[in-house]
Amino acid sequence: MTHPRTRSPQTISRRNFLARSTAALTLPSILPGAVLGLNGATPPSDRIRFGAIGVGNRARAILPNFLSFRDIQFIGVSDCRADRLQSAKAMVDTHYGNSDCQAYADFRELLARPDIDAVLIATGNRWHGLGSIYAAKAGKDIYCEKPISLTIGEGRQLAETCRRFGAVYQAGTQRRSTASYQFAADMVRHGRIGKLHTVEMQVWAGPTIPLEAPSPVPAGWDYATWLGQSPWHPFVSSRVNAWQYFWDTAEGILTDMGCHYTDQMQWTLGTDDTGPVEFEAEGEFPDPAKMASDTPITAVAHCKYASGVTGVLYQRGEFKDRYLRYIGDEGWIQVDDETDLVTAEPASILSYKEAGGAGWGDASDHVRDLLNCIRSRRQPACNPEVAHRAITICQAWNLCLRLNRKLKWDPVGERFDCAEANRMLHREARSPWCA
Amino acid sequence: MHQTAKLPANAAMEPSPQALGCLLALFIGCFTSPASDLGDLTAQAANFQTGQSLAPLRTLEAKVREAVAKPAQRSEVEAALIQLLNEESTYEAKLFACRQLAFVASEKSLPALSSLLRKPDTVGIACMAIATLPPGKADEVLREGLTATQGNGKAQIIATLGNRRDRKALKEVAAAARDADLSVASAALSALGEIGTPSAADCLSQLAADTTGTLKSTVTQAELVCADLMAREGSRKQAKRIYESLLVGPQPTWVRRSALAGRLGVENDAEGLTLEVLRGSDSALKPVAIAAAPSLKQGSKTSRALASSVSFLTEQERTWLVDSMAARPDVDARAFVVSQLGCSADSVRLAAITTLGRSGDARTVSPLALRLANCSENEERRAIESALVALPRDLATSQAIRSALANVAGQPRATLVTALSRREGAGANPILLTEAANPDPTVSRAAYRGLARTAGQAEAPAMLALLAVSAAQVRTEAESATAQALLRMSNGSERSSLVRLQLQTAKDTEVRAGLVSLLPLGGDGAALQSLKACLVETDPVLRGVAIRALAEWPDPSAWSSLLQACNTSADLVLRSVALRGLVRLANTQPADLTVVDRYKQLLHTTRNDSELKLVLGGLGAARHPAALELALPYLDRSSVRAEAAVAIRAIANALKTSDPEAVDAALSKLGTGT
Repeated sequence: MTHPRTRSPQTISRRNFLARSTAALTLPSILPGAVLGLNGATPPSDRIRFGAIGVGNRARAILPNFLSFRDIQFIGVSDCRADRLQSAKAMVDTHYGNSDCQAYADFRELLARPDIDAVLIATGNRWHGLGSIYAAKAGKDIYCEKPISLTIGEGRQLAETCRRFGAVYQAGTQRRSTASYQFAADMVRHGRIGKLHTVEMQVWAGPTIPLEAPSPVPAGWDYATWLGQSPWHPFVSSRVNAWQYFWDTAEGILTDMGCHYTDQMQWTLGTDDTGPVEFEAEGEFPDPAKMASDTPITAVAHCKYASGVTGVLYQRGEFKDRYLRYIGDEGWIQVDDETDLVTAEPASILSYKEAGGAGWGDASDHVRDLLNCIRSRRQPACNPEVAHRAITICQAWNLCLRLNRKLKWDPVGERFDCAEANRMLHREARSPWCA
Repeated sequence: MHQTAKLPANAAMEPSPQALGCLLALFIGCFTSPASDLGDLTAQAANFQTGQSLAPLRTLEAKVREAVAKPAQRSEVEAALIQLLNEESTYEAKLFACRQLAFVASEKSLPALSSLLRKPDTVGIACMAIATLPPGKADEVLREGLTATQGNGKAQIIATLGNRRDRKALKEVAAAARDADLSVASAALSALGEIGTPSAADCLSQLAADTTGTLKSTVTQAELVCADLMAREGSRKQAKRIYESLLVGPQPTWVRRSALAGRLGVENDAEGLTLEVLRGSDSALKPVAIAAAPSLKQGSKTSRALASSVSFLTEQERTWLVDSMAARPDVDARAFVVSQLGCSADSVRLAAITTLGRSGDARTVSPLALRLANCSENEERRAIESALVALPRDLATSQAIRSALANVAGQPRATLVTALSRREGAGANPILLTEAANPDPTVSRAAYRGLARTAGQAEAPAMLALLAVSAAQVRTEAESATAQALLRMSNGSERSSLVRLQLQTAKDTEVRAGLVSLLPLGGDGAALQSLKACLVETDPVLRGVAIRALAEWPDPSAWSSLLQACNTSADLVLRSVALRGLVRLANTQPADLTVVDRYKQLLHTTRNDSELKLVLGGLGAARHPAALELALPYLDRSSVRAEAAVAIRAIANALKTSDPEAVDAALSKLGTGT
């Protein structure tokens, strides 16, 4: 006899990786590590040895996802900031209970170690593409945070380099491995909202960074390496701490967060090897008399696929307001990024959803995908070609904003209908960082 | 203040020409400063330093954008930018000019940019601008710059020449590859790879023979890049030569893997090479060969050859081959994957199951169901369930799963039922209702679990009827699923009516008890009357369930019945349940004198400190001055003083603005002030 205390519409909880239908649909045969003998008592000789390049806040957030796997070991960390370098080494050493992790101020020394198989790259955006290219050329496999490149040209170069050098590469757009997003994509693919016509995305409005005079480079910083490929610029504390909002070092929130959603859009539409054909964007920029940052504060960006499907990205509202919504002629389905909550119209769509599944904050499944692929020499879910095509959309929007014009795009030849935009496909890197 | 026009959130993909015109005017107009004259702007921009207002630069930038759309103005704007490259301009001004020139410069800019190439602090930004110019004169300027620079600057120019694949620079770049400065030599080696011609390959070949130390790996990297570019551009033989040399030498594993992947791309007999690796002993190369299997020549003959190599592979390699074969569309490849469902190795079977789910169709159901009937491991069963869910959501596949149901019983049948439920959502409800009545509790339980997720108004009557015939082992799932179905009905009275109707005809005590427990979901007067009737039943089980149901009642209409049950029940557990229910009911409406009166009744009802603590715990939520007075005397009772204090603080906090005097008095008694 049962006497349920509380009753509300619910589903049976079952959190089992193999039970996720969409994962099975989209990823290579991912088997539990235990089946492969990979997550138990893996002998040291069979462990994948990792190094971390760029060990700031993001690296510290994602490192636990890596460290939870017992078939890998971090043996080196690198950062151009001494304070971060030492704290990352301490974090890794504490986890393993030894002091074996080596710290490198110059990431090239880490890459030169033949016993390092793979790297986690969690630097600032300016280093994502180039750092990955360096790593691939050194024979390393890669997990790199998003956005994967600064320009469309760099993204293409990254994809080509990984292919040429056989590097297994996973971009940190981990929502492909997140149950809520997998469910939404699955429902759209199976026609539960009818014929898809619009994908609506929202990221938050970017802050503005005030004007500030240069100051001395703090002790313990290798500023030239920090700048990387970006044109040399005097050290300005606020600029360095908010590098996301300057074209030289990043591409603003529209790209920084938008690439997660364009990746989802590409995946759901099955356009991972191509992309939209038209772009348009308008934005609101900081006041140059008071502000130093140059990327938009708010924006609305449109793209159109050859199939007629439209993507709309809003850069507005607060951080917590971000979402992805698929709209079809018979309904819609939405994932709220902050809460991982899925809503739909008609609500009956939600009856297909299994309970459980970690939110995007837990990238373990995404990391596991990479680890399996490192052994099988296949490309993971967010491989460089896939990631490049997703970020291209955001980068094309940025070119619309910077050129103040609509653009047409040939996704096969990867060229715009505008000479000036084509000239901005690539930006020459600053020596000595010309991979 | 922000600077450009803001589009409405619902801006259309193609705004009208008038709207675009307005936006453009606003965009440009917002950047216009009093010093809108190009000469003045250039003069201001030339002195720009970090930290100063960016307005002159942004205004100039807007003019550059305008010039993009109006080629007639382009020359004038370019001249202004060239002027910013003067010796006297600040570095920041030159950086700004180079950024703009990167997309509007013509050959007219080259002389000024050329002078920047010769200076270490500006060579980088000069290359940024020159790199976007078309081949020809720009390459000449870069090559000339090579002779005038050393070290980092030279490396910068070489890298730009490499990126531009300037074949005319081959001689200079090849010479630079032997430069004593390692950064120059390294950049030159990379550039040779990027140039990617047979001549560049020859240079690299010679350099590979001569180079030692840290540059050795740079040469190898350049050779791989060069080979790939040659392969793409038709020089397959030369590319193959490089790949072969890198495959046989004492190279790191990753180089040999890259070389094998490259060679498979240019090899006429890629199938033969793949089979040779698969059947060989080089375990480092096997994953690459297996990963290449999907792209080998399509057709059954190749698939059969690949399948015949399975005996040369380890268990893990076999799982990868299964995955690769699933990507081949022919019948023999599919047959191979299906055959691996019978493999003795768990991981291979799981790989076959998972890949079939990803790549299969209605024909896949039968072998998966067959495997299901023979498997004993939960993990494998769950994998099969997920594979069935992942199969195409078409009618043929769903029909195949329904047909498979006819041939299995027990756990395999339960798995098929669950798969159907997960695939079809509410669409599977009719078959789930049928299976809920299955005498096998494993199957019935699976059906009820599915119904709990999807059943609603349409299924609720049948599910209530099924409760009367449900086996004792599945009653938990049956009641829970029925409750979920009832909750999905929007009308409480309808819920009540359905449950009462069933209750009228139910004879079995357990069945009646189950139905009584559902009455609170109805929550109307008629349901409450039915519940009250159960309180006088002679059967103690039914009475107990009725008290529990009353304790779950959604509103205070059950108050007096529950209070009476609390006071008269001899069963201490039921009394406790009732008291908790009463505390909950007391707080289901905003605090007023009625609520306070209910708490008075509850405090009077309590028989021990434990019960008193429970009531005081609820009293804190009654935000009313009279509740404060009710709680205060208990501060003098040491055994419940802590609970009373918590309640008083909670009430006081809520009343501090509306009734500060009472709050101060209460808090002073507590020994603290506002």
